[in-house]
Amino acid sequence: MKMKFYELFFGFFFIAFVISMMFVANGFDKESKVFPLGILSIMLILLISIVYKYLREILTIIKNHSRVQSINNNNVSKGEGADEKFFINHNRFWLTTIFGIIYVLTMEVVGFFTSSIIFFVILIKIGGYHNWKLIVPTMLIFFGAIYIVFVWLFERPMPTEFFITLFN
Amino acid sequence: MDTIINLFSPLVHALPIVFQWHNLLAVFIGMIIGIVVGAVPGISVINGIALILPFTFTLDPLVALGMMAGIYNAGSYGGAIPAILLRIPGTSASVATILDGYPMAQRGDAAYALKIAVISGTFGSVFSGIVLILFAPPLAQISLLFGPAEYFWVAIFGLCTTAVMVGEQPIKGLFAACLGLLLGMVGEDDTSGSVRFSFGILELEDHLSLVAVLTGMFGIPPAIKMCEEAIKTGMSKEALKFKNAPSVIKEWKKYINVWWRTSVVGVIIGILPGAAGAVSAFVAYNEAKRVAPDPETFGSGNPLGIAGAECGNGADNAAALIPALTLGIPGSGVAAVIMGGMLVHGLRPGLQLFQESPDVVYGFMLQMLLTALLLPVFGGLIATKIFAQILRLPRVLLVPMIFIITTVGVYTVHNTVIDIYVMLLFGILAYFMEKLNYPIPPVILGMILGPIIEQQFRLTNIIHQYNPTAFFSSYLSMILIILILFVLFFPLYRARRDKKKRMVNG
Repeated sequence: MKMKFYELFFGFFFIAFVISMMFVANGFDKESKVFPLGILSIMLILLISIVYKYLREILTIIKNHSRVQSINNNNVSKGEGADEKFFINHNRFWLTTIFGIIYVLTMEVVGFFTSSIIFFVILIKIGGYHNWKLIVPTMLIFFGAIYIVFVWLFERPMPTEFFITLFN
Repeated sequence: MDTIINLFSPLVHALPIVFQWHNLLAVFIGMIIGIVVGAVPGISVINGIALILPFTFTLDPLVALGMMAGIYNAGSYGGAIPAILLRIPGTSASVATILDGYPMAQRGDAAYALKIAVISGTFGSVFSGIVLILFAPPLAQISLLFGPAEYFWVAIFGLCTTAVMVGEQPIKGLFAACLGLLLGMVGEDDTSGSVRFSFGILELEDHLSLVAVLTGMFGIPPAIKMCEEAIKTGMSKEALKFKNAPSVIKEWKKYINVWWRTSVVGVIIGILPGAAGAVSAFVAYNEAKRVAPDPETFGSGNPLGIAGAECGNGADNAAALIPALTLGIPGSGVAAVIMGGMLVHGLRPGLQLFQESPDVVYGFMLQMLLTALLLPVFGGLIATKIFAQILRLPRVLLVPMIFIITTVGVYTVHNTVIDIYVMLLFGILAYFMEKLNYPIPPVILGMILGPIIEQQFRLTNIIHQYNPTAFFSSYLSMILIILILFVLFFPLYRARRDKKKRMVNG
């Protein structure tokens, strides 16, 4: 049941996205808008059928559920798929996502290695792992390998380290 | 005779190039990465290729393709390691290997089970590699028959088959394909020059980076899932202690019948767009069970079960590349990603590829065969023991590594943070899409095929002065339209049939 609500939510989210893109595409040149508008129309039809399917399923479950409750005034069933979980661990999901966003947004300001090392430690902490005897050597090998491959071998320019520029 | 010689002479020319040290090194590195990504549950071959793709951007095309060939073939075997030892499928295709592999490991025959897996995988992969080399060049000639209208329908056919076959719900697959088509339109319209869906962001005017989208959609979701699971323990040292096992090669007579049959099954399924992977492993497993003298022992540790599943799994690898290289229709999600990798290097599938870059395409086909032949070296017991050490590392430690590798890889392609934002955005979107059973490969394929479809659509209109009948005028177009309709409506027919059956059975 919970998953079906998620399906509905994302269905409506995508419908809103597609409709807004249709408005955007309508402003293109005559030649350039045919194809995007065609694709967006197909997407809208598909989404409406997806939303309709889940809406019908949810209504059926609700109807059956209330029927069961009226027959047996007991908490017999919590509905189909009551145990379904969208997130494996929603706290960890949100923390990972939020820190992931902060990581990519601050990388250019703080520098690649500084932000990456901080992000590494934060993710390990989010995962609840505390064995520093393994974390520290893993980090050293990992960042050492990245430095050797990207900075030494391929000479790729990385976002400059903020703390190093302070001393220059 | 001359035609055959002309067709295959580039193969001879490409042979020494494949054995140049840097190409060989790429193959070796690819195979090592392949076994590791295959062995780590949660990271599949497709994720592995997506992760290395940004790093190959500056490399020679054959070096990049060599790495991908290595990951593809070795990753297929790598999935069998945790499947046999831990009852955890490294890849979706290795689920069938668990059925008999794990019971064998439980009774102390883990080494023998691993040997069967690697030799069977090698047999299937070599067979598939030979089929690729023999059939791809002549099939590429067929594309000569195609005009813009036919190319338009071929691309639609490829997209529809992948969209319908890859996921559990065809309608969601089609939506994902359309989303990919839309993403392919971001940036400057090559024909009219007008800018679409860039929202004033200068970097987006030069199209969305395929590498960023691909890496984000395949690299980020497994990392988030691993972080959510937060598995803090690795494999125990004891699980990697193997006792001596008999040689599978010496016992070849026992397996040869299963190997031949499941190789053919794997190749056929591999060629069918969107059907490769777990499907071929399971169909091959069932075929092995069907012809086995003792089918009742399947599921309780029958070596033929592992042989069938792994051989079928290996046999679909190179075969899935046949439609990808010749017509631009990938046979599997991995083939779609490899196709994306080829496009990043400016290699467009089709006859043009065979004519303009023969060393690359024939070299790549040879690399597929070479990696298959090298599988016993990289998948031998000693090598497996070494690679399986990665399984001893707590999986939670891999999470930041995947995040940082994808970030650094995507950043270094164009040295712009916009690509990282795109990667993360599509990574999070892919996470939600996967949770809701929207398949990801059609998005990538749509993004790749989108510009081709639009270009051929416009070309047909211009050539035939906007006469819509031009799209239906040739026999080939009609055949392709019938195939598309079949692909789109067959799932509906099947669903109705199953519903009726269920109703009859009460």
